Amino acid sequence: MIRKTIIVTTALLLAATCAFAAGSKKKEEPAKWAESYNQGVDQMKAGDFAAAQKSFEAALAAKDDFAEAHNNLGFSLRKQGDAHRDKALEHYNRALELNPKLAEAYMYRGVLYVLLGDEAKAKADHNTLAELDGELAKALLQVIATGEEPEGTAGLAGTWTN
Amino acid sequence: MATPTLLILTSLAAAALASDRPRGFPLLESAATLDPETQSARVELGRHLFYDRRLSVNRGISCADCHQQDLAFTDGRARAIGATGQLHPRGAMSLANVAYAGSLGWDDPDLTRLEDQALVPLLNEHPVEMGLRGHEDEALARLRDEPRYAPLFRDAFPMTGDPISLDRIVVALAAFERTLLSGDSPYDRWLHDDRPLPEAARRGMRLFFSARLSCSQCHGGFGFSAGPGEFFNTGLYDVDGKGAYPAGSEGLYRHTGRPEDMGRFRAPTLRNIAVTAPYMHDGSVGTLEEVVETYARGGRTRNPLRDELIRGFELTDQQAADLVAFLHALTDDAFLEAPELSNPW
Repeated sequence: MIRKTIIVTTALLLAATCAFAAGSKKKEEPAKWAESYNQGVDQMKAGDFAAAQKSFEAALAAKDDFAEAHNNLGFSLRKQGDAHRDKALEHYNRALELNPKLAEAYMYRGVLYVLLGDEAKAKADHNTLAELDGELAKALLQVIATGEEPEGTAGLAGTWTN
Repeated sequence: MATPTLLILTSLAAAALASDRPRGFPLLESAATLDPETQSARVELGRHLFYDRRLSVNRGISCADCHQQDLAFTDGRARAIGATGQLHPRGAMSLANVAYAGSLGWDDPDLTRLEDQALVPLLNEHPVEMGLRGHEDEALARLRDEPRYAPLFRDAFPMTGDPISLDRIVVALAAFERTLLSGDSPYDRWLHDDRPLPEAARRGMRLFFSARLSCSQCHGGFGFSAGPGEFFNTGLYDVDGKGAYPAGSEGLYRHTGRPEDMGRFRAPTLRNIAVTAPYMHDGSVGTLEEVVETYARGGRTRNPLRDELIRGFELTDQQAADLVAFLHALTDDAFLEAPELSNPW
């Protein structure tokens, strides 16, 4: 009985040590992509979309499955000219593929659909958004109803704090 | 044999109704935790009580006299009239989607539970509405004399002795009121089914949501109404040149005593607004056309306390008509005719 307890305890200790090691290793990696991402968020807020684009691209180079970065990259691209709309849409779609509950991406994609003249798809995004974030849904509804792009960056996925 | 089956079917339908929220409406935090059968029994009891004049001191009025279904649960009057003929300083508000209201009534920020609100018209003395204060036992006795109530109360409040009490009456009334959900207007079908709106209404929608007019700033979201804690002075009155409203209807100020709250009222839901004339807290504006005109002028007075959004705007006659056309697209005919919300007596 005592022997069994020792074995179990040792196994638990080993497992804990491994988990700790894995944890601290993981912790180093995210810092890089999170840093680039957060820099991009600040640049986006400041309206420097070209710089924001580079930051989000850097974040995605380290972590391609980063839904928020895809969302913000899409917006940063779109704000640099209508020619980037298709690329922006791809990033919004990718963001929602990675996280179907990312409210901000429905907001940005919905606005883009309005600009592309696809009211039906914009409304569909609004209706999904209404289940996720009432305030953003209100903002998107206003865009759909008026056909006018909103000022500011509402739909920006915020600073990464993990 | 047929009766129990019918009862079960009725209660299932009521349960489905109680739990169904209109498309685009958020889940209610206060969603029922009761078993569906008891919940639907409470709704059904509440419906009977809502339409029962025995709940006023002289059997003169029921809740439904001031809250008529075909008028989106308003009464068509500028100001409501109580059981004994007293004129209320304010008009009966629509009960459409009242379950979602941030607060209840025109100006009380702290009245948030439907159960508490129901006691106001029942017991209020200034003015007398249903006039039950001091006559509660008489009303309860009248309910006990009505044979339909014994099973209704028993099913709604199982395993109690005599379940007929004022507390349970307001619980049942609130349960019924939470089923007064309206979200199937032409606007909703445009939004959710991509069905076309009449062109005038679609143009009016553009104006309604525009930053220039800012209608949706106060009448926003799925409910086309103000959020919790939002009250606005729209410049309807200015009796002393310093922003005062007529005595008895000073709005939020009545409850807070803060000078800046003078004349601030809740922005009511615009759903079904086309059937709830006359408008404003005291019914002092007769038609939707006049409402639009009033806001276009920046309020009826230059009240110094009026909200910054009430600044006036230019509209052509066509645009004014378009805006009204959009407001008409918020009428939910099914809600106004739903048999499960109608008088069961």
